[in-house]
Amino acid sequence: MGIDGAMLEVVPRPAAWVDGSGVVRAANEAWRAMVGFEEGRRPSHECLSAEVTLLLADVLVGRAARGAADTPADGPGGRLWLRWHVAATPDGALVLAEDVTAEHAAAERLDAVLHHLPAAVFVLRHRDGRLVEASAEVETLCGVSRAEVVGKSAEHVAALRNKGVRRLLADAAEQPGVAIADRGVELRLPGGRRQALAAARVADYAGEPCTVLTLVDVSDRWRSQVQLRTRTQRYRLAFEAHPCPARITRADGEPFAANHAAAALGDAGVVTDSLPLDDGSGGPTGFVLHLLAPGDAP
Amino acid sequence: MIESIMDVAELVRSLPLPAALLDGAGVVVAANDDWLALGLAEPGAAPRPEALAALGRPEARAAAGAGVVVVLGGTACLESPVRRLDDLLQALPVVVLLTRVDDGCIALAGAEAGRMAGRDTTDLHGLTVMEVGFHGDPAARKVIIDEAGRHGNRLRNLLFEPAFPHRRMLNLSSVTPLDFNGRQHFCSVVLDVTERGEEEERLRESQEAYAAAFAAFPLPTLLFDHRLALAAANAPAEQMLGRDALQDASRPMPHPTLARAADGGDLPAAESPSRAVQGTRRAVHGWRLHFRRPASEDLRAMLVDVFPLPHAADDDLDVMVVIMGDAP
Repeated sequence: MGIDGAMLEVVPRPAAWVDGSGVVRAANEAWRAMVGFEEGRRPSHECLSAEVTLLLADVLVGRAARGAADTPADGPGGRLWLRWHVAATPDGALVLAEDVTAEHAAAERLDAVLHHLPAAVFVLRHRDGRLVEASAEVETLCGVSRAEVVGKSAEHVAALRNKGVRRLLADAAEQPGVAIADRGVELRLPGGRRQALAAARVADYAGEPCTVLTLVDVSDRWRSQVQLRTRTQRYRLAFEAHPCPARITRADGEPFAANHAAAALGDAGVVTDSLPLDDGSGGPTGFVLHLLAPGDAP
Repeated sequence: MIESIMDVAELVRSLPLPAALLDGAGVVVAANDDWLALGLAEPGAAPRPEALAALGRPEARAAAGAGVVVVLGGTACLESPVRRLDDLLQALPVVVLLTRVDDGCIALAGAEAGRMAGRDTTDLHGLTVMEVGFHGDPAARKVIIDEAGRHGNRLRNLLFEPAFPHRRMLNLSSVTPLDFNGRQHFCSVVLDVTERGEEEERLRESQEAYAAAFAAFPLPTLLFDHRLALAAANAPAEQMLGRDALQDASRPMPHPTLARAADGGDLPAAESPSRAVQGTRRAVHGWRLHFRRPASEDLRAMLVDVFPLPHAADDDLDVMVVIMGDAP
């Protein structure tokens, strides 16, 4: 095949053909504008990079049929990343340049997100049940590093064997594309129990159906809510069981609660005292305690 | 000059990226192995437009006169970081934001961020988190900037009320600071905890009401947890028994019990009404107990009612002791 510059013009990327001795014999206009060296010369390390010229040499001597290498370059709008593709032809090699600046920017962003996202993220591929991506937070929450879980089966990760998580994954599978969010799960991990809010969605990742699962550690809030619930329950039960017949209303008279002793009085109970309730430091709570007694009491 | 279509076809087959030569009707005349491996279209067939999307950023150029086109795709289309980042942002089931610290502008947002804000996700880029409404309170954002931005601390589970015009919400936000592209950014996960927040608010209100009612009961009343450590005492109880004795009783067991035996010694377990209630799970009434007067060795015989307070979640039993009055 004889390749000349006119033929390379049909290639919608910067392209050149290099003969067996490494000399550029044809290039299209895009190549000339971007790479800027003349036909009839060997590309130097300065024009390409050491990596690309070595790759080209390997292809020309038959050590490789093809290959690609990325190099940075200065462009008019800032730094570019170019990917140089080299492929053997019967009597030389084709070299193509591809602008992969967007790929590098996206890779940096993806890396930044996965390293700094304050949530454990697992991407589970349906085809083989393997984890194809994970965030660094996985190590903080689950005690296994990102490198340890990527490529492994979901069964390998203790957090993913959790009943609540499995139920969530099953629910997400029934509604592809829908985010199933904010399920509270308790993870029993080697380092102890952790509480997390879990969410999942079935969606395509890298062209394949996957489930993306997130776990956000909320153990501190969970503990404070459990304590609040315990305290509230203790005081509510105490109020309900207390032998003094009493009712609690809001300041505007709206009923809030009555205890068993008050209920036992029924309609016979009369209010003997009404105490505006404070919060312990003198601040109003907006509630009033009404103490009752039997109607015929003195 | 191009010698022939056959030369172009041979060139296309040599190209190191997915490539095909199409005729004027869009039918593949020749394709290289990369193209065929993607399953786009065999020679003699026309590639479907949606299949071409798998090429990443395909480009085409007229080859030899009208109607003959070379289509060239990008590398590793499906594995491309652009695709993976886009897929991840679309698929993440929680709100994810990457924002610049200095001006608060959103640099990156997941699909759920748009849903939460009631806007198209792409419209969020370049707007500030205050403009969009992720933060309704400048003071709250200042806390994040001070803690995470200046001191580099990770912030976990901060409760915020955002200021979205379409709905009132409560959000739980975690923030990690990072340097990205030479500027400081925050990487945030935001969870909608409106329902949980409302439940917590109801619990807090209930706790306030019931705790205040407990404190206001005129009878001396004591609450013990399931280990029989004092959990709470109202003002009449404190007045009757003394603050020091109550403080001792609130320490973890073993501690001297508040009630004493008739001779002033330790109260035997068999004579403890609280233990009896925990054993039978039934209230007892009119149980005679002796208490020391504050700052005194004198004993005072009192009648108490003791009530079981069962936890909903487990078998543990708190108890309430109400001192009804002096024993005859």
